Amino acid sequence: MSNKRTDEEKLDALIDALGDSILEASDEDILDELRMSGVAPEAEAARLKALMLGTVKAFRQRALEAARAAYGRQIEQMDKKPYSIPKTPEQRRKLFSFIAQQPQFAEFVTAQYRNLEDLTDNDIETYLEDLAELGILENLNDDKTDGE
Amino acid sequence: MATKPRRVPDEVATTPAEIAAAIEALTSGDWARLRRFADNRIWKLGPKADSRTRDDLIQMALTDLLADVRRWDKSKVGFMTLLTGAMKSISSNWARSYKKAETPLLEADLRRENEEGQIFSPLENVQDQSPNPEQRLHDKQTLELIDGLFKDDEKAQLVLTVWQEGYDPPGVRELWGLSQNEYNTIVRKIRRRLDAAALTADHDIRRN
Repeated sequence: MSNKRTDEEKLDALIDALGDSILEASDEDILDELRMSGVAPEAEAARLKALMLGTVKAFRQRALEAARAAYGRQIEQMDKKPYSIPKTPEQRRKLFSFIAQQPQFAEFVTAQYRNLEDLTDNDIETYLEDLAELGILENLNDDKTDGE
Repeated sequence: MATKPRRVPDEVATTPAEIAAAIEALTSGDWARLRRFADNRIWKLGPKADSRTRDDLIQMALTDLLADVRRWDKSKVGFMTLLTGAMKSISSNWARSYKKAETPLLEADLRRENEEGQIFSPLENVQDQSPNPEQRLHDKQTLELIDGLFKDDEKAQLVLTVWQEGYDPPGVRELWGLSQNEYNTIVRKIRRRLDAAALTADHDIRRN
């Protein structure tokens, strides 16, 4: 056995071994020892549980608030963002009709949008804004430019 | 060469709801063990605890888990093992970052993220500060006090002596030819006598 250990190292090792023994001790032993040190196990368990669950709750609330704030910022940005969609209802309806007929955009045109006559100008404008937000219109412009 | 711990993949890392469920599922024995283990870590820290308490340590372990600083793979370790492991690691970091009245930086300010997304502290690679004369005297006196408490108990002395040399339980049992039951009985007596002498946790003389 080495005698080169300092008192600090010896004490640290001893406390570590005691710590390990706490983790390995039976429930009965560890509960008895807590009682012997003047602590009521049930009350202490309830206190620690409340402390930890309170921390989890506070963390979840903070995460929720952060998500709400991020969503708010995203909506704000969308509201501010100018979309490059046609200015008149007729031009928009024409563009929408064109998109609806392109097979590569079929996945973006859900059943409710397939009957052009039933759609209001506002429906079409909103739908084109959504496509612009997704970058579909930009890609379409690029494709058309490339094609030309 | 030391290898960095592997990051638990996103798909198996636990959610706050799962963590809350694990807290709810702890038994009375677990809670007692958690408290006593936190006390043990604070005792080991001595003045390096810097006024932090067992509750701070438990909270920090939980917060690190919630904030994804540490991850829990439920399929590999139990919640208690995770928490006590985190408490060990955090208290070691506190010890390394402590330098009495001379530390201008908070350990939290030094935390960085490695390429695997794991938060680490550069202080983890820094050796513990050498104890000052006052602390050295306390350590010496504490060891003498413990020695004195067990001067009438030869078996406890055998265990305490090799614990101080860093032997683990199987090593101690093998060295002194103790059965598991004999070892458990001696260790239980050591813990209880130290508690009765008010040496551990709340009445830690290392913290004076």
